[in-house]
Amino acid sequence: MRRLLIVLCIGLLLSTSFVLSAEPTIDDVQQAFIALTPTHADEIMSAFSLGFEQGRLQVGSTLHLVDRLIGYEGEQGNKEGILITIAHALQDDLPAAILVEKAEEGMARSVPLDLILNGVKGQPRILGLTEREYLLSATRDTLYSKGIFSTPPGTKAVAQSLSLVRFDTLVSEIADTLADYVESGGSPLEGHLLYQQVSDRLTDLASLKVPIVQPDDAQLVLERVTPTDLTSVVLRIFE
Amino acid sequence: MRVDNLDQALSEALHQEVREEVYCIDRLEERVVAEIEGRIPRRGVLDFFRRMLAPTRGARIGQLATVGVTAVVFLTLGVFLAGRITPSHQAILTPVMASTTNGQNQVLFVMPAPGANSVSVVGNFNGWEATPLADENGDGIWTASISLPDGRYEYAFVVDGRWWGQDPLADGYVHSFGEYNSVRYVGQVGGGA
Repeated sequence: MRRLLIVLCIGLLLSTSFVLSAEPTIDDVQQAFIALTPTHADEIMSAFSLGFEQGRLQVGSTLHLVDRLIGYEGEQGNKEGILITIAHALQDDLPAAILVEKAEEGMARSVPLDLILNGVKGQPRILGLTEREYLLSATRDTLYSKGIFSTPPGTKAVAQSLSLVRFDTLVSEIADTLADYVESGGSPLEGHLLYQQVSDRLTDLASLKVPIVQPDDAQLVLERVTPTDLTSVVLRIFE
Repeated sequence: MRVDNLDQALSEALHQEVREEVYCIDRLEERVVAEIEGRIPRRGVLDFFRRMLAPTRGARIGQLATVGVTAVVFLTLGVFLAGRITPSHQAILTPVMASTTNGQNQVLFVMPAPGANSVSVVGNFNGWEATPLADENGDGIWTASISLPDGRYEYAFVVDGRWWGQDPLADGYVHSFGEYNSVRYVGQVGGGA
């Protein structure tokens, strides 16, 4: 009986250590960066570490992206370009998870890396990660200009300031809606259509049983942001 | 005898005759029935089938009636069991397809693909890695139930390596990399999914 207990305990310990060792760590991500781009690994890792700390990126999904990039056919410069674009977004205090997601989707669709990174300026228009980063930045700036802010962790909240998660969600969802609109062939000059798309998206997300966007946040954006503001945001990627 | 009395005389004569022969009709019905029963042979199971196969018109009507009733019974039973064992076509096309437990929703993905060798779903909920669908009863309807938290999800089916981004059950569609993605909102108030 005692021998059986000892064997069971050893088995439990081994299986636990196996499970723990299977969880990806930041070190795993760093090793993957080094394997992919030895020259830029430190620079990229610095930005991604910030993203992990802020909760803007998950270690597991990042490692998945880098592993996929390593095994993907394409130029080394484009592989680095994708990681540098995401790193740049993180350094610019932008929600970069949506860029990781788009890069994953592009590779799953066997899209060439150059197109994933830079898009296509024809019809239909395909937005690359660089243009999507632009949209994130322009959307964030527009919310700032309308007095909608995020509160850095540990600082005192001010009027109309949202938590980082709530603010990031707004920026991501609005920018993604604008990108969808452009990729479906919509004209940036049709501001009321842009506004309607954004309104629909935020309202749908706010009406879920567990809201992804807080109803108050959606209302705040829809009260303050105008169709003209959204047209200005989208026109930035056409310049 | 006058003619007027003739009817009365005849009537009395008949009554007299009946009274005299009354024993003949005493328990007549019972005796007739007993006689008939005594002449009719008992019918066994084989006789039943013989009658069923008899080429008489009455027998043919009996056969048809029996077959009809049996068919109706089995048809009703079949429909009842089919509805319980497999989802009906209507159920497959009903967009409310999620049940909620502990904040997670069991979301059903359905793709009709008769003759396909493999069907999977890829989306932003699984890192755009294939989650296989199954067609266990071989009817060409491929399904997978995936546990998802509330949210907005973009996805597409992959049928024998070919992407299919227009799920008829989706809440909407977007363009991505020049192709369609289906969109589904999971956790909608008043809806399953």
